Amino acid sequence: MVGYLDKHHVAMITTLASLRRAAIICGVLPTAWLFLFYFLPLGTILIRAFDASILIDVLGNSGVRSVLWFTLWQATLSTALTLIVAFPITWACSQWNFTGKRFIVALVTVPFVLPTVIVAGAIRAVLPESLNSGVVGILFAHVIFNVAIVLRIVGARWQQEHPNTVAASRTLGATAWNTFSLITWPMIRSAVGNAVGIIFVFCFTSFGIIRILGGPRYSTIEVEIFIRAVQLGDTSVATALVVLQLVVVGLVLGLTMPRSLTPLKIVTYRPSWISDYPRQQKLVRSSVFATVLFVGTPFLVMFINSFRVDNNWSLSPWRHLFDGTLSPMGVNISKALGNSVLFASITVLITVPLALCLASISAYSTTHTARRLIAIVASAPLATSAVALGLGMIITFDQSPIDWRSHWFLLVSAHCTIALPLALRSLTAPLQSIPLSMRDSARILGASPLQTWWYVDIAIIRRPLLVAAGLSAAVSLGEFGATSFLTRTGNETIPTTIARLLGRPGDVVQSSGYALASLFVLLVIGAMINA
Amino acid sequence: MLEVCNMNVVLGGVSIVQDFSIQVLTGSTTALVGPSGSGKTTILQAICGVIPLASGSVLYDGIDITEQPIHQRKIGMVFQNSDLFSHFSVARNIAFGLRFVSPRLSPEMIAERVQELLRLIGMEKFGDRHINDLSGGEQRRIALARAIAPRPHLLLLDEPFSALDSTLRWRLIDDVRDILIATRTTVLLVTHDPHEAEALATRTVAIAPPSNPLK
Amino acid sequence: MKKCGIALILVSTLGLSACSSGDTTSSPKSVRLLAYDAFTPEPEIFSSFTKETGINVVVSLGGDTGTLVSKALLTAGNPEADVLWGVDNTFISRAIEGKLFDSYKQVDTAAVCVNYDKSFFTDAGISAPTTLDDLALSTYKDMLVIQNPVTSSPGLAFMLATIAKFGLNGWEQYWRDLRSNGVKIVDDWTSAYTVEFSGSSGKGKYPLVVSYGSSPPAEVVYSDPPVTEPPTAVIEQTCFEQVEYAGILRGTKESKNAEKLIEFLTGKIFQESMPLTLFVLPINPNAILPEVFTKFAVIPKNPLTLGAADIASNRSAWLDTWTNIMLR
Repeated sequence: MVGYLDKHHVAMITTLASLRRAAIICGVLPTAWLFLFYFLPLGTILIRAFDASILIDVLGNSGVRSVLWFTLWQATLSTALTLIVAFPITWACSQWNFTGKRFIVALVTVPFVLPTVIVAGAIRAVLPESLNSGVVGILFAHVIFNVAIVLRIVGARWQQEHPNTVAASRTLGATAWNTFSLITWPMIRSAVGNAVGIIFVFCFTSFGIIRILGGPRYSTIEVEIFIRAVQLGDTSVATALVVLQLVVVGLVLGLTMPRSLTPLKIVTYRPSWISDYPRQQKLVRSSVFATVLFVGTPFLVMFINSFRVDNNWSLSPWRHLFDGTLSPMGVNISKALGNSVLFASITVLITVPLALCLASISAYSTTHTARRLIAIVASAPLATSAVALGLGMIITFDQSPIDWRSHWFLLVSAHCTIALPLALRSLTAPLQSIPLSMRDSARILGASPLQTWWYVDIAIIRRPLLVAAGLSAAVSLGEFGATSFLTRTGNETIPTTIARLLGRPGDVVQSSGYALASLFVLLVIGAMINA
Repeated sequence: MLEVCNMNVVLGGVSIVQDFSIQVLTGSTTALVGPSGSGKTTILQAICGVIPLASGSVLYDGIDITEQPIHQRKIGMVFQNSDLFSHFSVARNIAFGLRFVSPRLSPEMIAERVQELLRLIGMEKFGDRHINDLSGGEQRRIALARAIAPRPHLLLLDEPFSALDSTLRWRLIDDVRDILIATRTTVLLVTHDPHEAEALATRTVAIAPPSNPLK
Repeated sequence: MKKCGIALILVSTLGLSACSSGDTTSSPKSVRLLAYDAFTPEPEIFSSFTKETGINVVVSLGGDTGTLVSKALLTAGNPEADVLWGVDNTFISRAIEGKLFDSYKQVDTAAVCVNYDKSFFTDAGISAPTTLDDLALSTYKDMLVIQNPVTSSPGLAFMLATIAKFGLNGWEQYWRDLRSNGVKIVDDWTSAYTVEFSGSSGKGKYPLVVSYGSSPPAEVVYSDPPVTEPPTAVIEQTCFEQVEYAGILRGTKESKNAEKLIEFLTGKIFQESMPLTLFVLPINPNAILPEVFTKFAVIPKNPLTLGAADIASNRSAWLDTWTNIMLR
C-alpha cells in the first residue's frame, strides 16, 4: 500500500513538472502566432490609419449610416429566420432517431463548410432574375449557410434533456407548448443565445454572399471596408469602419457568450425511434423533408443549370472547365484546384496543432480565468473583419526581412488565423471532458507523460481532431475576404475562380461557374460522408 | 376504474409488452411485480400516454383514453429518476401541475396548497431549496408531492424507492403509504421487490418475465 | 522556447524561399506585364517583340482598374510585375502620389459615351436622345443602364462627364432626376453592355447604355452572322475623354527590359492592333486606323473632360455623394 502511494505520488510530481514544461511550449506557439499574424497586423492598421475624428466623420456620413443600418437589420433578420428554419430539424434530430439521420445532419452541414461564393452561386441559380440581386437572396443564402450552427449547438444541448423531465411535465397537465416554454426553453436558452451570437456575427460580417448577391445597392460594413480599401484606396475611412465593426461584433459576442463555460455532459440520452410514435412521425418527416428541400434545392438547381446553355441541354460548360476554353479569362482550373488543396493542407497542418496546444492548456488548467482568457483571445479573429486582417498584413509585412506581401504564405497564415477559433472550439469541449483520473491511471500504469498524452488524450479526441481539420480546411477553401485582398495573380483558388466565372456574362461561362461549383459541392459531400 | 385491455407495445422493432391486461379499482393501490426487463416501466409509460400502444386500449371509467393527449388524462406519474425540474425551486416544482389543472387558483391558494403538501411529506422548510441540493430520498418525496398536487385520478409509481438504501427506503415506504391513504389516491405501483409491494399495495399482480430474451 | 524558435525559423525560411522563388521566375529573359481584366490583345501580338528582343512577356490580369491600382499602391516599391498597363486619367494622380512608377507614358485614349440601340428607337418611332439633358426626360424613362462608378471605370467616367457638364452646383440634381427617371445601375461594364443593353449580344431590356465611342465598330467586328452596319450608335455629346497610361513599376529589377516593352506598347505594331482588340484609340501618330473603325467609331472633337488633379482630390467625396443619391 505504501509503495503504491509513493509511486502514485512520484508519478503525480513528474506529471506536474513535465506538464509545466509542456504548458510553456504549448502556450508560446499559439501566442507567438496570434501576435504575429493577428495582433501585429491589426495593431499596425489601427496605429497607422485610425483617427478618432475620421470615425466621427464616418458616423456622420449618411451613406455609411445606411450601410450600418442595412448591416444591422439584415443580420438581425437573417438570424431570426435561421432560427425559425432550423428549429424543426433541430427538434427532429435531437429528439428522435430515424433512418438516415446522420446523412441528413451531414447534408445540412454541407453549406456551412462550403465557400460562401458557392452558396451565393446556388442561390443565384435558383432565384428568378427579378430577385437575383437583393435582400431575398441575401437572407436565403444566410439562412442556408447558418442552419447547421443551430442544429449543432442547440441540438447538442437539447439532446441532454432527460425524456423523463418532459414526460413528467406532460403528466402534470402541461401541453406540449407549455412544456417547451417552461421546461425545455430554460435548458436550451444559453445554447440558443450562443448560436444567435455566432450567426449574427457571421451575417454581420458577411462578405462573399453580399458581393455576389447584393448588387450595387446592398453593402455590409465588411463589403464597404473592401470597397474603400481596395477599390477606392481610402485606408483611413476603411480603418474607421474596421473599428466600428470590431466594437459592434465584440459587444454581440460578449453578450451572447455562455456565461459559464461548463462543458456539455458526456451522456446524451438516446432518442427514441420515431417509427414507434405514429403521431409525431408526420411532424418529423415533414421537418426533415422541408429542411432538405430548403437547403438542397438551390444546389440541385445549380447542378441542373450547369448542363443548360441557351435553354438547351449541353455538356459544354463542363467540357470548357478542362479544355482550356476559359484560359483567356485567366481561368486555370487545375492550378486553382492545386492551389486550393495546397493552401488547405498547410492551413490544417498549422491550425490543428495550434488549436490543440490552446485546447490542452485550457483543459489542463484548473482556473476558470485561464479558460476564459483563452476562449476570448482565440475567438478574437472570429470577431474581426477578414478584409481588415488582409489589409493589416499587407501594410505590416512590407519591410525586409518580413517582406511577405506578395508571397502565398501570407494568404495561408491569414487562413490559419481565421480558422483557429473554429478548430479550437471543436477541441476544447472534448479535451475538457476527459477526467483527470484517467490520465493519472495511465501514469500509474507506467506511461510517460508523452505516452499518456498520446494514448489517452489524442486517442479520445481523434474524431474531434478530424472535425477541427475539416473545419480548418473548409475555412481555407472558402475564405473570401482576406483572400481577395492577399491573392496574387497565379494564386487563384477555386472560390476566386468561381466568383470570376459567375461575374462574367455569357450563358456558357455562367454555366461553367455552376459546373465548377457543383464539382466542388460533390467533392465536399464525398469527403463528409467518408469522414 | 382503470382498465388496460390487450396492451401491446413495440419499441425499435422489439416487442416489449405483449397482450397485457389489468384493472385498477378506484381507491385501491395495485402493485405490479416482476423481474427487470419484463416491461413494467413501459406499461406505466403507455398508460399515461408517454409511449404509444401498438394495439390494445386504455380505458378510464369506461372511456377510451388510448388516443387522448397526455396532459388531458389526469394520470400522474413518479418516474424512477431525473424527472424533477432542476431549474425550479422545490416549491415551484410542486406548484407546477396546479396552474394547469385549475388556472384560476390565486398565487396565495397555490402557495397554501404547496405548503400543505410539503407538510404532508415532512419537508415544510424545503420550499426555497434547490433540487440539486437535495438527497435522493428527499427528491423522491418532492416528486411524489408534485404528482399528487393536481389530484390525479390515478397515480403511477415507477420503482420509487429503488435507488435508496434500505433504512431510508423502509422509512419512506411507511410515509408514502400514509400519504396515499390520507389523500385517497388510486395507485398503480411497479416494483421488483415483493416486500415493497406487500407493504404498500392492497392487491399484487405478478408479471411474467419476457418470453423472448431482449438482448 | 526552442520550438518557438524553430517555428520562427520555419516561418522566415518560407518567407525567404518566397523571395528567391520570385526571383527565379523572372529570369533575365522575361518581363512581367500586369493589366486590368479587360486587357485582351491579339494572342500572338508579343511574339514579334520576343523575336526581336529575346524577351518573353508574361501577362497577368489583376481585376478592374481600381483594384489594380489600389493593390499596386499597397505594394509600391516591391511590385509583383515590371510594367503596369491601364491606369486611366481618373487614377493617374493617385498612382503618381503613391510613387507607383519609375516612369509612365500615355498609351491610348478612348471616349466613354452613351450608346443606343438604333432599331429600338426606329421601331418605337421616337428619336434617340442627343444630350445628357435628354436622358432625364420622361420620354426616355426606364431606358438607360449605367455602371456603378465605385466599381467600374466607364461608370466613373460617365459620372465625371456629368460633373464636367453640369458643374458642381448642377450635377447632383441631374442624378436625382436620372434616378426618378428609372436609371438601372449594375456593377460592371460587361453586365451593362452584354446583358442589360438591348443592342448587343444579351438582348436585354435597356436601349441606352454607358459604353465607349468605339463600341459600334466592335459590334461589326464581332457580329455573327456578319453585318455591315452596326446595330448601335453613339451620342457624341455625352462623351468623356479617357486617357490610359502604362508605366514601369518602381522597384522592378528589369527596368531595361521594361523600357523595351513600353517602347513596343507605344510602337506602331501594337498601337495599330489596339483599335480592334482593346477598342481604344492609338496615341502614336504613325498608327493607321482600320477602316471599320474610321467608319463607325465616334472620335469626339470636344469631349467633356476634367483635370486629373481635380479628379484625384475629389473622387472619394463625389463617389460618396453619388452613392448617397443613387443607392441609399
